[in-house]
Amino acid sequence: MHKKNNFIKIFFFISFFLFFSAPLGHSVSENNDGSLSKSIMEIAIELKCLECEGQNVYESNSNFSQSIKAYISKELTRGTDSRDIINDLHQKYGDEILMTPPVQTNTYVLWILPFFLLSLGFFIFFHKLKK
Amino acid sequence: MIALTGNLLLLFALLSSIATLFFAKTPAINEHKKYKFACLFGIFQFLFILFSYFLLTYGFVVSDFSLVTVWQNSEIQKPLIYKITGVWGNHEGSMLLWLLILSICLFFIIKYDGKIPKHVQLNTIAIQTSIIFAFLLFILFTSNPFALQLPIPIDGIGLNTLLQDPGLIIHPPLLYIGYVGYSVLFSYSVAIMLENKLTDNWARWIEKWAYISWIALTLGICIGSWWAYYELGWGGWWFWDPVENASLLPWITGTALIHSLLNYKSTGQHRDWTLLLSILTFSFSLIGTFLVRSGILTSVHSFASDPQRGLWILIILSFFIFFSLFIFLRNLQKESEKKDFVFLRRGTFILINNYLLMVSVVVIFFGMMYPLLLEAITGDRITVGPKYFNIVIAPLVILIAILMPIGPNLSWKDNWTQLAVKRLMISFVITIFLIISMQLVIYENADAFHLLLISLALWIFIASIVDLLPRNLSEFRIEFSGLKRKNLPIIGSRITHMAFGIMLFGIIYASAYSENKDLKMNLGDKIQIDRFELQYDGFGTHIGENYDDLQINFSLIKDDKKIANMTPAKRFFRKSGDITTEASIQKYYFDHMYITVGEVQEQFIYASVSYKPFVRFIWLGGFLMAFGVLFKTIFRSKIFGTTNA
Repeated sequence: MHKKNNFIKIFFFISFFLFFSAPLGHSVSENNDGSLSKSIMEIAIELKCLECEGQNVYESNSNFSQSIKAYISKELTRGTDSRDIINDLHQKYGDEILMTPPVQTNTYVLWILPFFLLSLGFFIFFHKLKK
Repeated sequence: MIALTGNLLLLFALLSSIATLFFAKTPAINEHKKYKFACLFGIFQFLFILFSYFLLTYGFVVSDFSLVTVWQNSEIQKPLIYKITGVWGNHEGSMLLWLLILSICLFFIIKYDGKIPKHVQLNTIAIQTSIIFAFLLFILFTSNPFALQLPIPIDGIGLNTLLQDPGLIIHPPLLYIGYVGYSVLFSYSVAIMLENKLTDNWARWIEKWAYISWIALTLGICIGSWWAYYELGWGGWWFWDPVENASLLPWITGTALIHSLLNYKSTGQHRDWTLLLSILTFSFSLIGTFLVRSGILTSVHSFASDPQRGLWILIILSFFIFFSLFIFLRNLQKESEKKDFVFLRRGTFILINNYLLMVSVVVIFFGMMYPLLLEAITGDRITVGPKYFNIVIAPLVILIAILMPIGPNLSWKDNWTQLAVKRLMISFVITIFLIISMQLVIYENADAFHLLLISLALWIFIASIVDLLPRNLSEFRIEFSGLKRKNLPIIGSRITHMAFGIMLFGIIYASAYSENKDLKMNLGDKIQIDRFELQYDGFGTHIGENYDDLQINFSLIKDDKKIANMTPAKRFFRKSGDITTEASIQKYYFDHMYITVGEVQEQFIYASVSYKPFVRFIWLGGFLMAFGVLFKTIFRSKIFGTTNA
């Protein structure tokens, strides 16, 4: 009795999965050597999922990320360069979509500070050493 | 009933903390009595909070849904272990755990630090109690775990499915012991600063707390990273996520603190800086809590956030930070002793270490906060992701790695010794030899940058071992003369340094040489990855306690021999309907084969397969680091336990 119950459960469970799991998957490309999906990954990892909290497009399965991944896949098959795809998306969604902030007026401080502090350390060190 | 008792217990705890503060500060009675009563009520605080914590756990175990917290985060069907540990799987319960650890620390201060002068002790108890008091108010007014609701619902909403995992059992408590352990250092430091005359032994009083907190924080971070690695299903172990950064910042300042304490103990220099570090470390624990709980920074694992809570924590943290900084500045000792700055001294290297660690703290904190600042000022929205942190932290890590083995070989007082030069040369030669042979045997063409980093990791590892070997050479006995056991703590710190090398090696190797494939696979398909083949064998099911798994079966094949079955799964939680992706991880020596499955259809699946060489070194190194410090802590207390005044 118990076994039969389990069987029915499993049956429903599997059917459920086959039915519902489709939207969960990564939208990975069709070619089997994984080369296209690799370039999708390389691009998607550079983009932030704007719907999520702190995830990139590659990791996330939100609608936004799905559509971006589909877009990347489409553009790549058309032969667009990775750099251009990222630039297009950057144009469309703004700086926020780039996981790594571009070096520009409003991020100079962000990029310079670490290296400034490091050089400051060197400076102090050698100054003290001379004394 | 539970709600009422729980509220009463918290109220009693609040009253006891007021009583402790009163007795610690009242001028009416003599010191002996003050101390006695303050301790008594301190222990009362601990007991009341402990009982309230047990009561909440009981509420979770019997599924008392009249408690809002239990209703929101539990359900009848949930496995018992997650009912008990689920207490800290939510905001209210975890704050109660935070409070419990604060009061346990108070208990330890009262019970085991009896050799410290009474007036310092009294101040420490008062400061620790005021932290407890602030968090009690916070819990009672904004996050009461005993909030009542009527009518009582039949079943609860259930615990977030990602949290129903063994990782939850130990990760948060360890992390909290780390965070909160630093509150003791904070309390002692402020109490020491309140002393007008110089006290000499304080570094030894607080040393063990610095070690214990650091061990707990290290283990907590390691387990958290391991949990993210296998549970989140992306195969990453560090995401530079705000919550992770929040735990990394006190870890870094805590590391700087340990080194600075060593320096102070040996040379008596940089007293103020050491005290400031222990204040900073706890401040970063508070700031981290604030940022995460207030929802100011969003992260993959944020709690349900509430601006009002954020405001409260902001008030608490500003109060304690400004209060301690005020006392710090008031008691700042005019650096009277003339410090001679000699390059090849251990103390100098510890200063350099501290500088580099503090730069990393500033950089990480700034990187975390910059998008917020920018948006507040200009309205521009940017994202500061992992790559930024990797780029700016890399030079710091490289410098640290170069210098790390040199420092411990130097003397506190004398100049550069012949022996140190010999040791470092030996280590250097072995490192070069190993890296060349590794290059020849395993990977013919690695890029220069990763090669440099790997050699640095090896350099740390080898130098730490070489440093341990000739411990009995007569030259070295002069410096470490006296107790022979005095050498044991040194072994502990070399283990820790060595372990850092191991961790660094794992991090770099796994990021540089991982192979990653996203594939569509039909039944029976075989793919090649690194030296392995992976075959898709179909799917099956597994019935869990409150979930069902759809397992995808793979065979891992090496040299035409099947070496393992791998079953990544889609986990379906019956109650909530949530589906989580369960990765399957197969270890091969120190490497991992890591599989997650995306879409599943009758004929084919989408799988993401990675081969991560030496990835296990990351956690091995992390745990070994904690072990090294534990080793040091144990033998330190044996040596100084009797001589400690």
